[in-house]
Amino acid sequence: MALSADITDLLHRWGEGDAGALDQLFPLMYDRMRQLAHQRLRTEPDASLNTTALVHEAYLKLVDSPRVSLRDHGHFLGLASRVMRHLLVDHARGRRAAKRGLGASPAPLEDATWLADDQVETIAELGEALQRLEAIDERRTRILEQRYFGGLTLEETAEALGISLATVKRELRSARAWLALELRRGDL
Amino acid sequence: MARPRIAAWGFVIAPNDDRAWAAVLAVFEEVVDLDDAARRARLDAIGASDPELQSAVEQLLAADSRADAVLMRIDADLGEAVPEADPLHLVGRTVSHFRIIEPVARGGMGVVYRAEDMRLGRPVALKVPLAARFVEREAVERFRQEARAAAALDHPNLCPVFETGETSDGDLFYTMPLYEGETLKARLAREDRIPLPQALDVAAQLARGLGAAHQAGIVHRDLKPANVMLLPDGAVKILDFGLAKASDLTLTGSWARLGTISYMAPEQVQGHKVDPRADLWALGVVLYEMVTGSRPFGGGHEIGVAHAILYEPPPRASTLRDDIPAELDQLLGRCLRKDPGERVQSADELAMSLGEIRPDQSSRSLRKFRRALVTPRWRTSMVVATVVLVAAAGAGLARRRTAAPPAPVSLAVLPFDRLSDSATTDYLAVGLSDGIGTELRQLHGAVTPSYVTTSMYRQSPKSPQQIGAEQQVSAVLRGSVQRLDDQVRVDAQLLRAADGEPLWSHRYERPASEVQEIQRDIVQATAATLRIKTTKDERDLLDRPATMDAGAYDAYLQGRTIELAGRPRLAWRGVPAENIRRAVSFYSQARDLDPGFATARARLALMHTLAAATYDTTDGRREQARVEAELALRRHPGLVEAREALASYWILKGDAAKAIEELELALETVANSADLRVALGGALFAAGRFDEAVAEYNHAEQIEPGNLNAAVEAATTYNWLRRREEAMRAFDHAIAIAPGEYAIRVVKGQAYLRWKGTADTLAAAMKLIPPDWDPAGMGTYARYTVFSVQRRYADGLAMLDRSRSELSRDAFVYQPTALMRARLYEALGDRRMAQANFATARSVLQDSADAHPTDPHIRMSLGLADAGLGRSSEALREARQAMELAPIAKGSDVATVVMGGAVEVFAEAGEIDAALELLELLFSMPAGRSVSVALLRVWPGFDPLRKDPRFEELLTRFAATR
Repeated sequence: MALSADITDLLHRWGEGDAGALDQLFPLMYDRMRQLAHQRLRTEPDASLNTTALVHEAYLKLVDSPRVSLRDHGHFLGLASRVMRHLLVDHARGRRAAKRGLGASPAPLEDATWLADDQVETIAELGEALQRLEAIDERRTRILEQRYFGGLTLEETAEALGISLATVKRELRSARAWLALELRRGDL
Repeated sequence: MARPRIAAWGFVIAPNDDRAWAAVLAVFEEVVDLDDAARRARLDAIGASDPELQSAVEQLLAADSRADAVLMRIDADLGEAVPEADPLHLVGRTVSHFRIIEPVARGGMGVVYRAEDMRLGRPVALKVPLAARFVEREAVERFRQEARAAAALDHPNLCPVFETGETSDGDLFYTMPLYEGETLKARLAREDRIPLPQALDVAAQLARGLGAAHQAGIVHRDLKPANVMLLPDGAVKILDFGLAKASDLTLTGSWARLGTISYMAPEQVQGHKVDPRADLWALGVVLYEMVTGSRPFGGGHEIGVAHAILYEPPPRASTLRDDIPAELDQLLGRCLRKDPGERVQSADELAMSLGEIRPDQSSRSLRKFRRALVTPRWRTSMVVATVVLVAAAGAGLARRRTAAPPAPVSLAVLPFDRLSDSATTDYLAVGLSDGIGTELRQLHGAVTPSYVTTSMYRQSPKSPQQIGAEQQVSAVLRGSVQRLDDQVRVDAQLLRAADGEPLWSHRYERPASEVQEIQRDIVQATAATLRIKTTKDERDLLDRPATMDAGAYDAYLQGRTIELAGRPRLAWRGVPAENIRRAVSFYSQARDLDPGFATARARLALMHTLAAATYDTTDGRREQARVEAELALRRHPGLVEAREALASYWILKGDAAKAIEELELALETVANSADLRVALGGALFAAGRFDEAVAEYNHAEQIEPGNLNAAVEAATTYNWLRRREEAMRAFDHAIAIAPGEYAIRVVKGQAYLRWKGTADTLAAAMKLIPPDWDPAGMGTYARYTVFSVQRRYADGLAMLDRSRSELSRDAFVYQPTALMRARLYEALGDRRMAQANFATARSVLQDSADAHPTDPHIRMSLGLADAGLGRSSEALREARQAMELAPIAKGSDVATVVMGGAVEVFAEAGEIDAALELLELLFSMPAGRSVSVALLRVWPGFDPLRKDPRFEELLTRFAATR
């Protein structure tokens, strides 16, 4: 647990305005973020290159975001999940729009193609569904977001949201049911 | 009261209608785990008063039961990133007669558990293929048939299937032997390419395994690196025979779901009938990937890959890697013919052809020592450290060698004096003079030595004429800074070096926040006065402030001052971690205040590379350097500091070619930067391009005659190339530039010892060097070397008693003083004291080795201590491990040092044959300065070999060629 204690301490210092803290934080978080990104992406053979690009973008977003007060390790993972979600969904939407000739260009971040074609549709749809869920139930949105975009374990989600593991499990189930209903709607 | 609105196709919760949504969820969560009857009763009760709520909950319940199926695709694409280790919750349970102990692997295709076969009492691997979870009964039966057929196969390269069955949840499973090892996929993820001999060996084993299966009428259909297991003893096992066919059935039409299609043959991609030749294609792809590091059919996503497989010829492997034998190139071509009829026809034929290919002969003896070894990431050696440090050293400038007329104007910017005494004044003074130098050296018409070089003139009594002569410049800019509350007063004076005549001077009194403007004004005045040629681009650059944020600039100047204060003239010595840390903090503060401040970002990136090369060797730190450098380039394309940072990054990544590219790009902007040329030399050296490296060092020296690192690097490179006379001249030149850098004299003495077999030069150096000079014990080690070679063992012991050092370490040495003492006592014949000291050394070294398990030098010294204690087998093991940790890579002299150490360990342990064999190998290597015939003749550590006539024969033989 020493690692996550360090991370919590650094987040605290970052929140208090210590500029160097985020730079010390990055190496600690890098492997994890890279792992997260790697599992999100299926493009081969340049998967490692793309993973690096995605992590770099996520990092950039974190650095450029207004300094939020981060409680702890779990909170950071939650934030990283959200950053990851927005990057991937924007990218998927851009790709889809480009394919449909809507004139919108793909997200201009790096030139990497992060997603395989068949992932684009899945992620764009998921992004839209989450947006709808967000309007009615924020916490379940976070749970799905952390599962699908952050790749957090259930324990980490509990930590990030400050709720019990049992609650996470229960709410994940209803959130998944809602999502299944929502996505199925389009098929019928 | 608002209600969930029910539509024909589902239900929608009205936005903001939290209560309705909450009610649906509350009921859902209440009833979802009830049994059918209880659930029905509860829902009916609700429906009596609120039919809409009942309907909404029912729909959600129906969706819940289908959720796994509906979300299967999303779960597969975006499932847990840290895979739930045991998604089936089998650990601790008993499945059939297998006790599930722990999950050992988890991939898209399934979960593998370590389990115990309770009937036979043996450990097994139990795999549950998840892809087979959503299958029909027919497919289950098919899978079992296939698995039974595969189980009948008995071949050393096939992983047998012990049993198949079903879990109580209805999941299929099968069991197989539990192997310790890694998959080829994991190996390829770690290492770009597999060494040729090993790749051929793996491919041949795969071909033999496939041959046996094909003879039994079984086609694998899904051979890929993830299905190839590499065992530590070199054996190769093919996994998952038969599974692919079952999966095919279950996942009709969608090869995407099978995972990657990269290894599929054209007929398979098209869904045609597949025969054994599809496996041979797959083997061809796997082999191609092993030897070139990339797959023959790219295209980014699956459609692209499919297109390439069907229609595009693969690039010849030999275009991607130089040492591919022609026969291998041809064989790969024959595996990858689109038409199965034109392909290699059988696995046996393929195995035979593979066996006939001979990789480059010269690597054969090396292979013996290194077969099947994992190549560790390139450790930071002195070479790397030097490149990183020099690259980071802020481009020092000088004149262009092939100076097209008119010749560039050369001038030295001296550190400005501080007239008020405060930290603020200090960083304004340093920052201003450094900033002026940095801007001037961006001009193609000007050359100016780096701040690290001119900083030795801080408060120097030397006249402008003297300084001009020493630095070979025609003008000198000097000045002073005084801080008065929020005002700053700067006096600047430009002098002609020939006679000290003032050419221009000015006094600025401005708010401290305008220091950037003062700097720009001085640069422009200097350029105008000296008639320095500038291009329009350069003038635009000068006009553009680095940042509009005075606070950001202030933080930047502070970072720069801390950084420069830590930079030694001799880059070898490194920047103290504390300076790096504080500079990181200031630069990131500057960046946070102005995210568009590219120079601050680039400097931050450079600091990250320094950290990554020294105290924080994590991948994360290194990658952070790249992030910042690339972001800096996005904001300021062509920024030299960002290119330098990227070059350092690539050196850390072990990719010298990319580092060279970046440095060449940087040199397009500042062609006459001596420091950049030295950095380029270092990268060329790392790439094994020694002659070009020497040329860059010489070029740097012509640009800036006083550049210490150019001289030192030239000296060590000549020495490496065994061009000893030139090395000695370059060492002498470096010593003349910096007489107080004693480390250079020591290295020269060590080089001379290896050339002439006498410690006289080293002894003379040590006489001149003050006795208390002993950084990291290097003075102690040098004296120990002298006494050992001169065989004055008792004097050596007396010296060690006086020394305060307990450990000597540099890039090539890691010796506790106790180890030196032990060897001196041993030479004197005092066995008891020798043993006691060997034991002390051993315990120190064991601790060090535990703390730094991948340091080859520690391990080699540990081997020496073991050998001294008579623990021969441990000694040999340590020596071998040390060699594994120091791979023979281009430009890595660590490997030769370590091999030389291993010879001593073998000798000490009495393994004369092994020692001689290793020496033979060592001398067959192209370069290396660490062990020479001359050294072998005089160093006591090799004494045990002298009794053997083969040793003398070997020395005579190699003396003639070296």
